[in-house]
Amino acid sequence: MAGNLEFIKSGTLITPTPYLEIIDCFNSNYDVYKVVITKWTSSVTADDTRLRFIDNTNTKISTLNYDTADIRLKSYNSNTSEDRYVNNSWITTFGLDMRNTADNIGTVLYVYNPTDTSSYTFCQWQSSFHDVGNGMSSIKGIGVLKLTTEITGLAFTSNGVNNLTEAQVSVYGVK
Amino acid sequence: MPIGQAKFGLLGGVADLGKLELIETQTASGTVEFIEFTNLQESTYNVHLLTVNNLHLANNSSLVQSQFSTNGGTSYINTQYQYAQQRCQANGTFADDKSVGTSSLQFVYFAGNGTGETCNFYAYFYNLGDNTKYSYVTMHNNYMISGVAISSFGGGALLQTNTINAFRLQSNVTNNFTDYDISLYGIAES
Repeated sequence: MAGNLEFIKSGTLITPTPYLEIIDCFNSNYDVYKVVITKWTSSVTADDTRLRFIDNTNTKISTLNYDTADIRLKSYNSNTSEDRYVNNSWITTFGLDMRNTADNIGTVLYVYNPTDTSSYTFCQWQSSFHDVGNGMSSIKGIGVLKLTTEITGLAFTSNGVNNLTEAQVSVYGVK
Repeated sequence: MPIGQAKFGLLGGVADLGKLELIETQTASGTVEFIEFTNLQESTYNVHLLTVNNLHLANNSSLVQSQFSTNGGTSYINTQYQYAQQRCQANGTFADDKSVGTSSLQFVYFAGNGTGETCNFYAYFYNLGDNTKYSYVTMHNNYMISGVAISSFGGGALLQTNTINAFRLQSNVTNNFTDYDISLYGIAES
């Protein structure tokens, strides 16, 4: 029996654009997916790293059906941040304000039951990144899309408008 | 087809098996000061996973830390590390462990060496082989001291754009590692 981590697809930004979309990366072969973000740069001050799911018509879901909770730990002060959003239009935040090439991010994200139309789609993640002008931070968070739509892809963005200048994401199925 | 897909490079589409690839496992061989990993294959893997199981310490109330190397372990970088972690203790203490400009990355904050007290954690390392990026770690641990269960999660970074080709685990006390089972994996296609 095949086991462990099975590579499905990766996406790399080639030219600046607001979204890095990875379509058809979820299917009925897996219940749990591991997503690794290894590169991320946005040229705009204070841009977040955010996620929208893509449905089985290759449409990004932007309705107010996302809930998120995360804790952001900072190397440079004791003001630990709690980010909480109910009925938001995306899942946020994986990282913040990574404007220089070296700043970048490292993220492992797990997605649960994206193609199961009897269940919401859940996710959890952990990131480390460098916040320009401040220092290294780490985020641990959870999110849910409160729809039973069949989810087949991922769309990463800073705010849906500003161009990303660098992004690289790999998707694996967990057996 | 999504608008703008031509702006992406997409690989894959067919399941490709076995992408958590074991690089090396180290087990205890007597009390040691450092546990070194010098075969990272950093040009192959952008992401590494380290699993640390049953790490016994010789000295009570001591740290587990890490340093990176650019020359295969001949010497180790002792500056420009940052970390930020949330510590959750079963006795009710919650705290932020953090530092900027420190000499090593922290993985475990003051662990015990009583009966059954060991350190266990996983850590992901990102972009060690990319000399245009800082090197990052995310981690989550579980350990005990004086009968109190503790878990910390968070991460760290080396704020240098070097190619990292080795790292080591160390402590604030010399010859502190007495027993362990530690594995390093590469995540292929990352």
